[in-house]
Amino acid sequence: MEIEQFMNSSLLILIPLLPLLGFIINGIGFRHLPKNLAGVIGSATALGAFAISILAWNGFDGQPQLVKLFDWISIGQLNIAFSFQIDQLSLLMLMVVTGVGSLIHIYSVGYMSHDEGFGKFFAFLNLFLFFMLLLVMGSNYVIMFIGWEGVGLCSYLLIGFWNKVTNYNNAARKAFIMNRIGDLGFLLGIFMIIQTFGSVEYLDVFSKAANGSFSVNDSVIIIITALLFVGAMGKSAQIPLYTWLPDAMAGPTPVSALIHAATMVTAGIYMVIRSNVLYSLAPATLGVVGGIGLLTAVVAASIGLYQNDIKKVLAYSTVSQLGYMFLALGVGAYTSAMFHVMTHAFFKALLFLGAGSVIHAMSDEQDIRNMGGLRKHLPVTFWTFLIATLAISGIIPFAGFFSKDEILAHVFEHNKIMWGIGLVTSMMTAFYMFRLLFVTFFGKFRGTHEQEHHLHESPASMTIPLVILAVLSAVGGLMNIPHALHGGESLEHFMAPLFELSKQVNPDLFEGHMEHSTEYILMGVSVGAAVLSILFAYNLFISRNTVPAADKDVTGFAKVLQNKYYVDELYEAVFVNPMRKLSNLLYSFGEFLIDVVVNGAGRLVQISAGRMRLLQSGETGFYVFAMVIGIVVILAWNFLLK
Amino acid sequence: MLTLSLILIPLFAGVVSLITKNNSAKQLALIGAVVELVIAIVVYTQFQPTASHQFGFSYPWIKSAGIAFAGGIDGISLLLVMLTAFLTPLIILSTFRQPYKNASTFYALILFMQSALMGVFTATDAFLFYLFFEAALIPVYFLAAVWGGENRIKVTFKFFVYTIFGSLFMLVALVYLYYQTTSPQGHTSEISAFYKLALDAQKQGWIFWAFFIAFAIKMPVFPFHTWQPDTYTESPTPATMLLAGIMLKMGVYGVIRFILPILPLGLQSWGTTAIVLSVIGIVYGSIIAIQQRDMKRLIAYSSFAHVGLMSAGVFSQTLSGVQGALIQMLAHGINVVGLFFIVEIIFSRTKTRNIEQLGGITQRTPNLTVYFMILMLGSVALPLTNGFVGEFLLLRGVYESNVWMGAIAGTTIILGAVYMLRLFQKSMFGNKSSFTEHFADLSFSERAVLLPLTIMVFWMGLYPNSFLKLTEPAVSNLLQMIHY
Amino acid sequence: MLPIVLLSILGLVVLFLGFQKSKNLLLPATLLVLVVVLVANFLNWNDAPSLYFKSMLFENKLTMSFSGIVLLSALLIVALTRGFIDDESAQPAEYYAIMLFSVVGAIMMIGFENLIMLFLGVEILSVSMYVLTGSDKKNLRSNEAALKYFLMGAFATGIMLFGMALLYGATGSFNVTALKAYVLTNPTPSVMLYAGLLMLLIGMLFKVSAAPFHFWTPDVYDGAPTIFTAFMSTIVKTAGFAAIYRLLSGSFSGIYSFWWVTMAAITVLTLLAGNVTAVYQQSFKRMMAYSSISHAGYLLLSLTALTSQSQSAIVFYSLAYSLATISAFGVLMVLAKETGVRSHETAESFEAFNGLGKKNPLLAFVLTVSMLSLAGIPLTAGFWGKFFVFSSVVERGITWLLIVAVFMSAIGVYYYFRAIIAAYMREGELGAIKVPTFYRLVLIATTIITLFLGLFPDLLRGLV
Repeated sequence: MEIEQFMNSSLLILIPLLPLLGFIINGIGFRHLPKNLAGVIGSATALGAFAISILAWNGFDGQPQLVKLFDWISIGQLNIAFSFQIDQLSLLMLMVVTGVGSLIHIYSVGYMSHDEGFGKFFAFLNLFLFFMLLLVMGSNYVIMFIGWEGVGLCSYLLIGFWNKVTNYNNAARKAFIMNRIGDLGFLLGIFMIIQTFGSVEYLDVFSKAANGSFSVNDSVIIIITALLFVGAMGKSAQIPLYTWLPDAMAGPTPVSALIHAATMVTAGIYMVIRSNVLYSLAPATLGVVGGIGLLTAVVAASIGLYQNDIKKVLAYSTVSQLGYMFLALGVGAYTSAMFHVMTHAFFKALLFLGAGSVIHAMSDEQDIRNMGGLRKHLPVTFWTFLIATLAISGIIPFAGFFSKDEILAHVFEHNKIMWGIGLVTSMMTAFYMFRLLFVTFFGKFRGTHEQEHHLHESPASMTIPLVILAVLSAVGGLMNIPHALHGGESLEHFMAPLFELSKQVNPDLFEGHMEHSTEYILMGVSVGAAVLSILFAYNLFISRNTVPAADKDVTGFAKVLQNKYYVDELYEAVFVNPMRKLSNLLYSFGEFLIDVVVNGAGRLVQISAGRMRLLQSGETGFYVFAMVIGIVVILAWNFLLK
Repeated sequence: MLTLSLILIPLFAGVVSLITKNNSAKQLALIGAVVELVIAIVVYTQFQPTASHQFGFSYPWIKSAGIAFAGGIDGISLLLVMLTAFLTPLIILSTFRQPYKNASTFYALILFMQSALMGVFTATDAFLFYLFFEAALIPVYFLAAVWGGENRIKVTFKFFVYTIFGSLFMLVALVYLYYQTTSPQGHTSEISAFYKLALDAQKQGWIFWAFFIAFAIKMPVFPFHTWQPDTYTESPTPATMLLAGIMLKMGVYGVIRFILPILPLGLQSWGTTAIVLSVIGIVYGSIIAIQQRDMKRLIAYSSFAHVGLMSAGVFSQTLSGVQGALIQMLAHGINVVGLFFIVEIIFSRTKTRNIEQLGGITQRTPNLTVYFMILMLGSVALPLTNGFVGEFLLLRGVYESNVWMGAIAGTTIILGAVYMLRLFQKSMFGNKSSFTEHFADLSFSERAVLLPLTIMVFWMGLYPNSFLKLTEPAVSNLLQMIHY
Repeated sequence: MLPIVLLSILGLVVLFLGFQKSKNLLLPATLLVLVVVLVANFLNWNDAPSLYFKSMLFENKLTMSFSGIVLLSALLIVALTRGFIDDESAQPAEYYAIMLFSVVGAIMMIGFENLIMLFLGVEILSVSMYVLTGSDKKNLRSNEAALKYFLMGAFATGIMLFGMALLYGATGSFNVTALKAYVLTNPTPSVMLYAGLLMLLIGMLFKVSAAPFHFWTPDVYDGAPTIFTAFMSTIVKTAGFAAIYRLLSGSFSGIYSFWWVTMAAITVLTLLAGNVTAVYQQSFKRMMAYSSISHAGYLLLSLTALTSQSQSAIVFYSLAYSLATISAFGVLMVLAKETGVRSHETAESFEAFNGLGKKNPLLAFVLTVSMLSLAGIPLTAGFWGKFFVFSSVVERGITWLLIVAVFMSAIGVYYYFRAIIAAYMREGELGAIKVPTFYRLVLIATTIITLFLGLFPDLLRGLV
């Protein structure tokens, strides 16, 4: 009874409202509030949202629940309501966002304690939570879009948090603009949805899409889904719009953990899952999604092999993992993608926070070549980092194993070559992650004496979140253990109602059943491959004690990889510089050209004035002559020519 | 009576300001503008959201030519009346830290301008509309040309001749339409009488262009815009605010009032051309804005791009497009006035408008950064700010009428971010320069200007229906005339 | 017909006053005369149209309105002579008398019923103008202008007479009404009538300085003493257009299709010659000469359209134009006099106005209103003048002509605003300027009337 009451009450609204409140308080008072208070307000609102989310989870009865606040934009027949929809998908996202979000808030209290922008930081984090919650709770595409753009703004604000540094600001700007490119696709997709379905409400749109008037691969649906996917490419950093994410590491590390690993960047996956009915109707788009996902996964992983900045490695790893998720979506494995979103949120947040702890200890040093042997100084960080690394590498029984394995199994069913590439990607992942781990935590310390002197384990506010996340990374896979391992596939069942319409409109997509024996083989292969990579890394970095070479010594393909395939340079040369040149050209020449007509008209008058003035010679003879000519012409025209 | 007082109060206040001493003129002008705002709020609260004109007045004026001194307010007018009434006191207040020579004349001109603008937005007689349309030009011309920057004379003169030239075509079109009307008393110049005309397609084509040139120069639409960046840059900031914040809306308003309902066939043949020109303007203006160094010029080009979108939306002849244009007129007015004011704040302290010479201002005044950020976000149409609602509806409207144009127009959300973020970053972030080293925090009067603006940014962004509801009956009524 | 009689008699009285060496009385006396005549002019306002002098002259509201404009202009200009006419001439009495007589000519041109009277009126007015143009006897430019004016005027008069003769040959009458009757009863008139009409028109168009018969205008306007330039550019123009209008509408509206193309061509030429050349001028006075040509173009526009509107349009336009022109010349004369030391060129150039806005806001304002009115900016009388003229063209439906006119109006804005820009936006080294009370009154009056008519054009337009 109580729970029902809660569900019907406006308490749900508090979930996004609490962080908003935190933002307002910290935002207005960020220069006046004492640091502790700001931290408490920031963390408490996040925790509050988490608590209410848990209540909402418990009270959920399996039916989508709509909470309408007010009509936001009404135009003719179209009414865009400010309303929330609570269902399986939004609940899962709520848990991740508020749960991981709360941990990172708490972590930040310690991490940011010496920063003068402490209050501002918490204000921004809270604002981010607010928008992220709008994104996942909205009951229609426009509310999702609000959140979508809002998190982009927060990402911008937080990447450029240390705004004295021009590079950071540029990175922030780049992130915002690249996201905006995607957003345009999203926006056009929304327009097309309005055009096609006359509504933006999920329930309306999906029921209309599934009412039989659209066949599979209907061109309208293909275009809609493709446009929406453009949005996803921007937000979830897929090729070609991925280059902002590695740069986004300029932001404080908790930001990287929260926004650029665990939550915001998975918005694209959320959106595709949310729109699964549309995507299921458009297998053609799914093909593109899967293809781009796979390409992104392998390209980003290969770049990750040669990065030496601890956060850059993790960033490329994130891009690569996001590619994995899209790969899953591409083969129709929506649940697997969501599963990976969640496990990834745990272990990647953990990795970033661990990296943050390292950076904190190393006095802002980020180059792993200047680290080494940190295991002894940072035991908690090391152990949690190890768990996360095992998880991401897909070692049984850590969380990543289950989700990754599920994805690979689905891909295998779909296309063997793609599976092969996926497997290679996961080998690369295991390699670069252990390379990171070994170089950072093993061997001898390679930093300065000063740094060594300062080495210390982080405070409790930082290590507790690490431990919690480590636990989640270790056991997170339990929520969806496959049948083959005698699991209950609880997540699969929980999410099943979301895909009912999809199964109805395109049953082919969900067909196919794999023998348990095949599954065992696949698991064995992937774990074996990962272990192989780890051994290789061990051999290289522990046995032989190799340290990644200095930048100038890197040659050949490795240099290409280290320089990220020169994609940034390419974009600079192909888009950015031409745009600047075009801007200058239009300003100098284009404007001049247009003005030639305008000013030319004026000049023409002046020139003709000068000419006509010459007629005014002052000589009476000429005047009379002109008169006579005039008279003759008038008479001649009237009597001879007419 | 209320409508009439909206026109007369600023006129009266202007005359009083003209004859008062220079040093008390600004307070007096502010009082006048605030009284006007109060009247406008009364109108707003008493307004019934229907399609008809309310608070009307009508006096015979030039009987022999069928011209009446008649006005009234419908939803479309109301929005612009509110905009004018809201912005003028802020514009006056924005000058409080900056002494202007011959202040009494200066403020009188601002008030005269307001009076004329009110007339433009409320006139229900076509010739009266024209008179106010032209009359609004005179005060702002003098404001710009007398109190402006170095090149002011040449630049404003071009602006003046150019716009007068355009409106002469409109005059011809109006006279022509006047002779087409029939009523028991002979011809009439009531705008509503024009709506009943059914001219053939060729005539409508001609009249379309006569109107279009007038409004296109005013807004401005590509390629009639070359007067605009120079004029905005050279004018004193209050004049720039008047020009960009309110005056360019006269063009959009004119299209909505005249071209849409009177010339459906003209639109059929030329509407797409108008959209294409507008969309070119969006992209063209945005791209140019990317590399501008002068803050004022940058915002001028951005304003040019924004108004292109409004124009495209209006010419799309969709409910969404026109409603979007209306809400965007309000939003753009607020944002652009705010942005120009911020430029003025920066300029008054650093004596430079070159963004390359600025930087790190946020370290000196976080307050300014916050206001700037909010206005900038409104300008780049971030959801939950005023700009988003307008751009969303506008883009949707354009998209509805022409998918490709909608998509190209949509690049404004990308390019807008490119130049606005650059402007913001270069001025606010980074290290302090020698110009910004001693940047003083905001004064009380500056906050008093910025705070209401930012409140409006959020109000319109969070609850746009409070404005959309006002205009929808009038707009759909108007659009029904097109799709007959 | 009272005005003609009164003016002739009182003009003589003024002339005789001159013998009394009481120069101070001359101006008040002349003004008094003009006021009396102005009142007398409107005495018969409510009477039916009537003929006088054995059907030689005609009077109705239209002619009274035109006469009223002429008389008012004369009154205002004469009021501006204080302190100027005695500088430029030794015998002021003669000039006052000549001015009064010339107004007689103007009124005859306005009220003619018989072509003979038209001729008489034109000649009285013209001869007076020749004399006044050359009144600055020591000034070579003045003499040259007078001579030019005279030579060319004589030529034009010849053409005009020739035209009248042809008309008489074709119809057997000089009477306006008879001509009309003839045109109506002979749907295909003889070539002689056509030729006669064209010749007569050409002669008249010369007087109002329509292109290509306008070349004398800038030289004469520039050379003549400014006060008489003002006189010429207002009174001669008003009377000339009244005469052409009466001719075309009274006698020849039946053969509109014959003459309108010629008139349209002349209109375009006039607009071009006036507006375009004005752009180039550095001398304000010379610019005003071209401006008078361009306004002749707008008036011709209305004549070319010749609709029911044209009549009131021309009346309104003439008044608006006259008022603004008098204001402008008034300001120029004050400045030229007060800053006297400078050369002829600078005193009459646009630069003469530099910094006027600061030194003397009143004069600057008067100048501004006058320029705005000439440029046809709303809320001035000039706007409505243009509005009514354009209206008549729209009513007739000659769109292309209108487009030309619109372009020319835009150019007009360009050169009129140069004066305003000089006054407000340029720095000048003007000393203190003293404006005589009389002057101030006249300038304020013209400005107020201009603005008042700008707000309430119906006050005048409703009358005719």
